[in-house]
Amino acid sequence: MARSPVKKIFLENLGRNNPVFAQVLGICSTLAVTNVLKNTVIMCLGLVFTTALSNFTVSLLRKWIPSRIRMMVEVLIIASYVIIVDIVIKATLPDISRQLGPYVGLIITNCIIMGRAEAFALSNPPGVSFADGIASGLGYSYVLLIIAFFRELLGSGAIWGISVLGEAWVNWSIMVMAPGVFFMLAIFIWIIKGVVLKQEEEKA
Amino acid sequence: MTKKSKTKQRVFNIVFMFLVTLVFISGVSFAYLSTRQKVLLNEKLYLMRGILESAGIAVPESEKELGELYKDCVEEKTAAGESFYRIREANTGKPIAYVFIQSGPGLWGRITAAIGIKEDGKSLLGVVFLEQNETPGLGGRITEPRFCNQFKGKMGPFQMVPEGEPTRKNEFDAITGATITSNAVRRILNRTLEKASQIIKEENQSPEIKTVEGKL
Repeated sequence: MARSPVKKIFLENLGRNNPVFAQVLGICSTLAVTNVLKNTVIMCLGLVFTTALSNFTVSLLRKWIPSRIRMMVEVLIIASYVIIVDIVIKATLPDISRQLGPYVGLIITNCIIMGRAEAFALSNPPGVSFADGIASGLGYSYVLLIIAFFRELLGSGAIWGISVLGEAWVNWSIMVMAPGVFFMLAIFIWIIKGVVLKQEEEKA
Repeated sequence: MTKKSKTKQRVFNIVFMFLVTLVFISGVSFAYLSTRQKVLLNEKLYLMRGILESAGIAVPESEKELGELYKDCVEEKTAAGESFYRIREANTGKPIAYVFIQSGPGLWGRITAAIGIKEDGKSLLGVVFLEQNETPGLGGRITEPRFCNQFKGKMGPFQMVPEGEPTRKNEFDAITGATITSNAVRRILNRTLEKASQIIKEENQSPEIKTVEGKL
């Protein structure tokens, strides 16, 4: 019994109800971190961790949280986890922490976390909420990784910092700047909606 | 709802928020305090590495060797309100460089660099960017060796060459698409060189150097 809703949650978040291309949430961080693949991976790990744990915690407390101050409580929970992520990265991976700079702290403002806490964790038990957090984190992550892959490839001629396109390649500077994401993300959503989701709609 | 229960609800809200905050802040404080030593150590090692690198000294991987090398080579000094580092060769004790840690405003935030200057007080030995929040992939590329290494042997005051090969001693290749960052770097370097040449001149004249040489 318990397995099927979890499976459904994963399918929803990775596909039809994906936080990035279906709900169009978390775009600010998509703009900020996807120009280099390495930063994206760290950001995604941080987000999966925070979404899962904050969902879990909000869900645990959901029966006691007064509805008037629920947002304050949610933000407090989310912020605490993000600061812990920041501290842990600083202590264990100082080089990456320096590269990410303020972006780790900005996980707090990622609408996906707040959105999942509001929409899901407040009305579901902790186990399922935890799974939902992981699922929406992964749904966010794979979209970002695809975008980051193309941005780094076109913008720096490299993947994971290793040059692959050679000296002759002229870098597309726009790809490493924020406007590049608007093109990449739009193309991505266009393809997904036009090809994958349309087929599903027609079937339905 | 009666007035009384409303008040009760409000008090409960405040108490609840207070308790939740207490619990989470304790958690965060615990994480902070338990990693603080490690974070401070990381920062110190990072600074040591930057100072040695900017003076053109090969930096060993292990923390212990790094600490020993630093102790042998580097001496912290202050002159004219500026603190700087005096670098000597590890074996002979011969003075080889001055390192200045200087900051200036970049595009998004502060840029801090360790700038190694030769004994003549004019030419650069190396530049290492310790702190920067420039756009990753554009201005952020100032930390890449391709950009940093070009300063070796160069002399200020600097001019930028956009999208070209620098030919003269005071020119450097700016990063395309990151003019503001490149300009910020130029300003930091020029200002540092100006300040440093004065300080180095005085240092080289001071009797302190002679006593060290006399010891050898």
